Amino acid sequence: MKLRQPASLTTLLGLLFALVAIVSFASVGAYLYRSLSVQLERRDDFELVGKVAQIRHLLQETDTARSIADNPHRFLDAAAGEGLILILKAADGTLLVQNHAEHGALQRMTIAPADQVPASDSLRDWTLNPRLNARMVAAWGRVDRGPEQVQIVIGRTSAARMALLEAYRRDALAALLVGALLAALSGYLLVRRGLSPVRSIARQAHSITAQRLDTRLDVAAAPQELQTLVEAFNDMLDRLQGSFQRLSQFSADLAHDFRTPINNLMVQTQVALSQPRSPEGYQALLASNIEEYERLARMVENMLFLARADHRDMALHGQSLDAGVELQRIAEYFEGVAAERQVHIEVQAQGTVFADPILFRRAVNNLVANAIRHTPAGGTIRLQAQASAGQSTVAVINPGPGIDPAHLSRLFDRFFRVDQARSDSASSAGLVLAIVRTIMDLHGGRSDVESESGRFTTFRLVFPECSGSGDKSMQARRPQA
Amino acid sequence: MRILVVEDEPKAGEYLRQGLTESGFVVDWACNGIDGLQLATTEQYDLILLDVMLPGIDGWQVVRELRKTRQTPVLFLTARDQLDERIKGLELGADDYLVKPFAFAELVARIRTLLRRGPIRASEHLEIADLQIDVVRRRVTRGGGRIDLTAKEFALLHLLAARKGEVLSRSLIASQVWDMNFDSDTNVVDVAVRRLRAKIDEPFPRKLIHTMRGMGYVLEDRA
Repeated sequence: MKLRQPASLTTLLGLLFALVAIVSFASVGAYLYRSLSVQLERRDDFELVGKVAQIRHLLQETDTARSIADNPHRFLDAAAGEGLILILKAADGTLLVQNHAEHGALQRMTIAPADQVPASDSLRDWTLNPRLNARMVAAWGRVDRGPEQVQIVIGRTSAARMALLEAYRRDALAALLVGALLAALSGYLLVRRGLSPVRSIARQAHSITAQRLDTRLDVAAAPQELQTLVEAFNDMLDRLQGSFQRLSQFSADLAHDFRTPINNLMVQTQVALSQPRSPEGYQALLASNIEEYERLARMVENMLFLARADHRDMALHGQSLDAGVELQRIAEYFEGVAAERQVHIEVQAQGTVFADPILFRRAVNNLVANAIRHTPAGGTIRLQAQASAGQSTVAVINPGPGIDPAHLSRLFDRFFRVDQARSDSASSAGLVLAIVRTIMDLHGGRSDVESESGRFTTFRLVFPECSGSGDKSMQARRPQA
Repeated sequence: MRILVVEDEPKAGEYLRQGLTESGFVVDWACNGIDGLQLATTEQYDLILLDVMLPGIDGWQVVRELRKTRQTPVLFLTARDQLDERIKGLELGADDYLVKPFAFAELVARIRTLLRRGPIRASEHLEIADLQIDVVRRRVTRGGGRIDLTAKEFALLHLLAARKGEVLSRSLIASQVWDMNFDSDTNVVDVAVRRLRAKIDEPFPRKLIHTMRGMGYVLEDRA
């Protein structure tokens, strides 16, 4: 099925211009036509009433009705002229004068009394025959002597008036068409010209590719109405460029991190295979390989975790957790490791935290593992939790040399390592804190870090009260029990 | 115990057959869904290991067809672990779901659990060689001498002893003892086992806790 192409804005506006022009021209034309037609009618009426007066005058100069028929020329002269109809009848119906044979409708006409000027509404159009219309008036007139009255019927055929109106109509229609065409064309051209900044923006946007993400649209060149759009577009580019750079960096870091275990696997195995070994030698090789494989598997798992969180393909199973119980459990989990490094873990917690239990443990776990790594022997790591209005805060505080302030802001970035040279080969350390931040983002909370050189480093996790942004409909992936 | 492995990847099929045979199971291996379904519906198996992505007909369809006639337990193996896929598998009648990469010990543990079906009967008293564990009173003695353990050390020993002879992976131990249900790259489990050994095994000539390199830990009397 072919999709209908969306209409061109220029064409559409051009057509609308034409439509508006047609409607307004047509209304004005119709009004003028109507007014002209009324004017013409009035002019005819005025003339007819004048003729009635003239004929009455002639009648008064005439002796008797009978003498009219003997000498009709004066009357016929008075009615001489293109399209004028004159009929005079005696009161008994005898036809005295006529210059037109058609008078079938005359019986139905209102006849004005002899001493009155015919009323304007007594002037009407009559159809004399199918091809002939006429404006007619009838009145009584008196002759000089005697009480005899004569019926005067004067008319003017409409042919001339109609021809004039017809010509007017033709002209108006032609003007209408030309006007509409002009309006459409000029509308089209104006809109086209008006939209030229849009085409120029589109041209600029076309030139933006993944390799040229630093290109920005020219805000100053855009018309006022489009500046918001251009600014929004540029903002979007900023965000895209940021994400794109992070993504590229992430892929590069990832590939780099994969190299180390893969290299270990390859070279170690090649060395082992270069000469015959004892079964114990092979066993040692395989066991060492397993460690590298597990490391790779964990990296993949962490990557997937981050990728899913990015796509919000993960559900939070938020619940109220007793902070004390949770932190105590984590302290117990690290009890052995801490004791081996002669580090003490102390829990001071109160209140509850609203969080997904597995993600909560994972985040705190990562922080504690990190803290143990950086605490000198004899030091005490403190796990604190407290709830205040609308949020609960979990802090992991460890003594130690501290973190360079220059690194603090990037600490939660993926693959960021304070010591770039020391690739912590026993762990995918570069993702540990990134995962913490991601977990906090999922909870609608935040993570931050403070470090006093040579004294304490404090990692803080702030959970909102009833994690509002936790999208309950997100897909979940619960690590298997 | 007879297991049918339906797996199209030759390497995976081969190591599953070898590993499971060496763990004491009788194993048949089908390389595609059609053969797998054929075998599953004509032969008697105690359990079927089913890869989801198979040529011919996929794992979902195999289970759907199989469930029309048989109730053989099915354990899905898959590289995909989106929740909806899991739910789909379980709804279709799969009994469990294992995501690649998995630890072999984990696979064996899951198979044993499925075959056992139902909770392990909690024993009140465990005895391995001269090690005695009184679960109710949380008291451990070895060679007649009392050994003091912390709560978590006891939980770890109890887990190893209750499943003696079974190799337990680190993630399983972390999950069962500390309820930490995610893979952590810390060596917490190793350290905990080391500390437990210091109390349980070190003073005695006969060692009970053994490290299976790359797999996990097992508690057994190898005398």
